[in-house]
Amino acid sequence: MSKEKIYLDNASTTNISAEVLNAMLPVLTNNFGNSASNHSFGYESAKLVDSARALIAEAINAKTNEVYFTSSGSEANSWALVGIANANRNKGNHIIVSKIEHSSVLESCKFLEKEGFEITYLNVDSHGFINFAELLRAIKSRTILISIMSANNEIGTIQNIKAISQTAHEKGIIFHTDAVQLFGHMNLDVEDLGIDAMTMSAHKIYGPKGVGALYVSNKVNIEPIVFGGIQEEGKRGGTTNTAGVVGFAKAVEIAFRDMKTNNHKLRNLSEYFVSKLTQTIENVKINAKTHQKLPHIISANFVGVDGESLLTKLDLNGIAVSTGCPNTKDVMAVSHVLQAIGIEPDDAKCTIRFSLGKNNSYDEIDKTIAIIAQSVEELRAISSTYGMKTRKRKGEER
Amino acid sequence: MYSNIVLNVFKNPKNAGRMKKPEGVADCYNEDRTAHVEFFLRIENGIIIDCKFRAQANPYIIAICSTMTNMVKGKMVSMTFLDPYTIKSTLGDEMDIDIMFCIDCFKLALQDYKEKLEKEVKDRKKTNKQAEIESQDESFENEVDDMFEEEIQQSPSQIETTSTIISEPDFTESVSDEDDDFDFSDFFDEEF
Repeated sequence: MSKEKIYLDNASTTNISAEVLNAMLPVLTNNFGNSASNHSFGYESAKLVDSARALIAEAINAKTNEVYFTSSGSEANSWALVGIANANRNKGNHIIVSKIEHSSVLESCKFLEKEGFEITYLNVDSHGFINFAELLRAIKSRTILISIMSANNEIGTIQNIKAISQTAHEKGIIFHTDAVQLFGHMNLDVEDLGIDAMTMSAHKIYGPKGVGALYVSNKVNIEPIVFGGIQEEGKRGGTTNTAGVVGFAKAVEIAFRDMKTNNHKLRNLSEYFVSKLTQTIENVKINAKTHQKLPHIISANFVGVDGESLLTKLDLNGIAVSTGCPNTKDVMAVSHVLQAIGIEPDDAKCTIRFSLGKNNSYDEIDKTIAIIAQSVEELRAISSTYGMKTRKRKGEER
Repeated sequence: MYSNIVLNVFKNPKNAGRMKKPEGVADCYNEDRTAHVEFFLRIENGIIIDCKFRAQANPYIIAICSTMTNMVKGKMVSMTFLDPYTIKSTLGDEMDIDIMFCIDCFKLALQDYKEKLEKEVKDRKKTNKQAEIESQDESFENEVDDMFEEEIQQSPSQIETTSTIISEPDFTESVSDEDDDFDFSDFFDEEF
């Protein structure tokens, strides 16, 4: 077996591309000035930050002063939820989110609940789509914010953002979307889609880690959660990560330039992966089988095989994947997303998330499938539930 | 991140698999239904001569099961005491909940064996009564209850060997070294 490592966890993070690195290196070496300083060093940095901001704003069809840089997608999500909620407290105290949001949104909601806000968590169907009837029923006169993620990080489902934003705007509610996974894979025109606030992140699109951005429409009031400092128009303190921001802009530029070719490649690769996986290994179930999803995020359920054990076996063979519950190192945690789409905890533990990237090849996928088949066979041989579950399933069919 | 000890055991788990017609068997889910383990016991004359497990669980639990089944082999049922700290020190990792879960499930397997034995005794007692065997003074139940003690009295050499195993378990060697564990079954075949 070859010792070459295969990376199939691109939804967690991606490698930094050479073009991005080349754009960042001169900034790291030459432009150390604080972009908020009033001297030539500062002006140069400020210029770079501003042009990066302009580029990202253009990519999403926003105004330049509507894009704010943050340290991460999680910070942007927390800021959007807490900042908008606090700034609009006079209008109401009710917020609507879905059950399959990223933990940064859900944890912010928990914080807001302590602060006296009321949160409604929307159910999703077996594919991960929210129910519009339920959304309409959930809206109250006190509702100030709806936050629904545009593409899910575990199953890849893409929500009908435009329909949700229209529903929200009809009732005069602010609409925020966590687009970390979707950004760079699809043209997101915030004017057209009616998005009031949107979270983006650099490291999911072959950019550097430690940079995120929040788009906030000029019509929306938002309070800062990081205080002190005049950066980002006084809304988000902290010295700007100049090199990171430049890298982010470069990554956005590349992502939008190569979007068509990348998407085409990813779609073909994923289809090949899924068909080969289901052909080679029996009793594999693909979660959220819908066409309206990110093709490169594949959530697969291996009956009778613990996801954590399979992940470890694959890792020992040099293949990096993620369990069904990617955002935690707690081996006992069960994914809230998989539970929300109606999977029992013991089945949810049998889930592995594969997320392909533009650097993966057909050859790598062939190798991966062979190793998965072997590992699954080994683990099923010692599995206490495999025979039991397949028998139960056959019984149900009869 | 798993420690190398856990990974090594996980890569080549000992005693994994199924056992046909075990004397004691138990399977259980843990509290939040994220892991499932199953233990099989082969018991002859009150001594665990073989123990196997199957699991749909994370690498920790598989490593714990492997270590535990190795530990109990060759021990007497009445004297099987699983110490969580010994398992913990063997694997060198902190996972109290997982260890307790495995130990509890193993105890259920032992319980199953004991219940089966009691049932067997009762059944035999019934058949004995029906057949109206002459020796009614010595009930069969007492015989089985005293079985372990009788063994102790009758074969002192046997107890010495088992007690040394209990006091100085050699599972650490069998886990760290690739060398296979001592095969007790052959040993007992000679004795009985």
